[in-house]
Amino acid sequence: MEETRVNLAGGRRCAGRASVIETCLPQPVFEVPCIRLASNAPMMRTFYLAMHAVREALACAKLDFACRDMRVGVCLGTTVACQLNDVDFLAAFRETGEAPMGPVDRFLKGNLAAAIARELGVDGPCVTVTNACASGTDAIGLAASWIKAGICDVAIAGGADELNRVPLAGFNSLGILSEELCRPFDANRKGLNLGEGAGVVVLEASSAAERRGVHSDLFVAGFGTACDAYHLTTPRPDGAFLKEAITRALSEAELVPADITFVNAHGTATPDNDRVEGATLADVFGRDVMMLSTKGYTGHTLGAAGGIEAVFSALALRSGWIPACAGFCDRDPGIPVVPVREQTAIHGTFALSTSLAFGGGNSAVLIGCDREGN
Amino acid sequence: MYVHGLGTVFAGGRGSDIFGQAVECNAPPPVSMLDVPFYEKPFPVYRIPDDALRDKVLARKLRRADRFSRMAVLGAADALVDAGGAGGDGIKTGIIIATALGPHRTTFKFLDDMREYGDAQVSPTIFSHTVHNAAAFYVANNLALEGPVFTVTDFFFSFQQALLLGQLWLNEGRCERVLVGAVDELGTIMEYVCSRKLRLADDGKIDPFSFSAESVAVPGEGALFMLLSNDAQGARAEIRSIEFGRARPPSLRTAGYAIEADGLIGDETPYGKAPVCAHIINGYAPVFGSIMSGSGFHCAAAFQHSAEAVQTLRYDCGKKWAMIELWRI
Repeated sequence: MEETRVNLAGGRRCAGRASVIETCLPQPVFEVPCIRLASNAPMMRTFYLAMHAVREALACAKLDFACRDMRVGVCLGTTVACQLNDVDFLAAFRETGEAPMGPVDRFLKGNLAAAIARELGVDGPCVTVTNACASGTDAIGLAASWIKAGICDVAIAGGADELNRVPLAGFNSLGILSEELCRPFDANRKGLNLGEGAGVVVLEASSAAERRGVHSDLFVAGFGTACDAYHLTTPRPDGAFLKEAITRALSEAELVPADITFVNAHGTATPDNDRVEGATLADVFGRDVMMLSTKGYTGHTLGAAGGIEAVFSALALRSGWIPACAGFCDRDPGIPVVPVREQTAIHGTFALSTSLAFGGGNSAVLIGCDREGN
Repeated sequence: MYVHGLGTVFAGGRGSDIFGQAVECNAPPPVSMLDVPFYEKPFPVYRIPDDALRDKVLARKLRRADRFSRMAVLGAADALVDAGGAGGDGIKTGIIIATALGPHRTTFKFLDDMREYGDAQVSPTIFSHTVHNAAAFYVANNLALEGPVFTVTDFFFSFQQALLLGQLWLNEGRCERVLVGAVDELGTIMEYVCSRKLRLADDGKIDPFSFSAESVAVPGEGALFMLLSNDAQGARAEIRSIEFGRARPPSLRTAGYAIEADGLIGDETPYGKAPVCAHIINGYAPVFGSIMSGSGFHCAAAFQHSAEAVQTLRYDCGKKWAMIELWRI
């Protein structure tokens, strides 16, 4: 977390040609340095990314399950880790009619939430959310519902995804990969960069936290989701269902738009996404809303994005500043909002993080930070 | 939470009536034999006949949909009709699809394209259908449903987790009713994987009561949807609880229960150790086959077949269990 904070403050953008996968595609990607992973085993990379984030989140929460009688749930979002998408496995099968079972075994052990639950030895509710690019946000929303309903005391939630040839080739085929570093909301934006990573939060019922004598300043205040089902890969032009998701999250938190300090937008830097999202944010919060996209620092991490961006939002609320919207330079006259161009001090309690997804998904999670201990 | 409608497509055909008849007669569906030259011997699977996936009304809107999405749309549409509606009626309806493996046929098709044409020359249409939630999009789009939409995966309890989420959504007021469905498909490669990872029934018959440490499976496929709400009026069954456990055996409170023994976990001795205080024990896997998200089918079969109350019981490979308690209305 500290390194992330330093990198965001320094405007560091670590992207380059893909090295963890073999591909002819030249577009820049954001890779997690291999040295930080316990292993580079194909198909398990997402698990290791997630596990790294889970361990850090648990340490922040001062949680150790070894000696505690807690009901602990795991709810994580992913896209890549839920597919048996091993090209070599398929090639072997097509060429010989036989294929090694190693990739299958890894796949069967690798259902993300189940694998993390197994690793931690926890037995609460456990599910992997596969809502494409909104998976991480939706996983946090689902986990918050578990906590509110008393289904578990603690929920580990967020998202993780590894860089993989399938989405790289797929997004390239859709013509939305940028040849250069992405520029969210910029007039000259040319598409997204893919990335990888994990973002995880630990949610705990206040009663459970009280029992073990801890208090967190951060909390999930609300969640909303709505599906426009307009097009499989394109957001609905009027943003009506993104607005509904945001409105639902605000309503659940009993907040009004003026209560929101800043918005960490989905902001993929594709022409369609940023136009629709920018117009919707202006509609709900006004043209002067403080907003940014952090994908200029991470690339689009797909199922991890919602988790990472929720964590960034929480970090910003706690730190009292948001970073510049990396890549943004020139205002797009077609977008009524303008992201922050430089590191900006913030004073407030609530941040909104939004996600849009293939399949028409629109989701919004509200993160709160009570720095005065209320 | 109440069940208002059922919709299904499975190896025995399409429609809750056909499903109900198959359950009543305990009739196994027609067995297909995987017949690929390089296999030493063909093995049986319960595959959905192509005819069951054709629909004149929905054909145009489904022209781009892959097989997985077709299965989902047909199952979901039938559940709405079964409940007396047809979608697009202004009632906020959520959709939750539970799957173990997702649209793997489409993913493999995309990988084939990558091999054949290279990473730079693949089809965007095929790619967009590789995501697990494409099916949920087709359901929402075709049935004109406006509400929250989720797709969740787990290799054993995805349907139970989807039901749990549906209950939360209804209780939180996120929607007035919710379509919860289980969808999984077969395909050549997954059938090959099954042949390597499972002990398959040479004779095409699953025996849920073998309680064997070496149980046999017949891979199946299908979609099963339930339309649920918190409104008891017009409902056909009530789902009273969804429970999970590991250390302690499940408590049985109903006159009947259904074991989901289908050969997928191999060692099915835990089913034989469940406390048998019930009057009637059933196992419905022979009707639709071994499906990783098959709890939806077991649940539907149990409530269609039972006189009053029934609990379904499913174990995973790690002796963790999940139970759904249903009361017929």
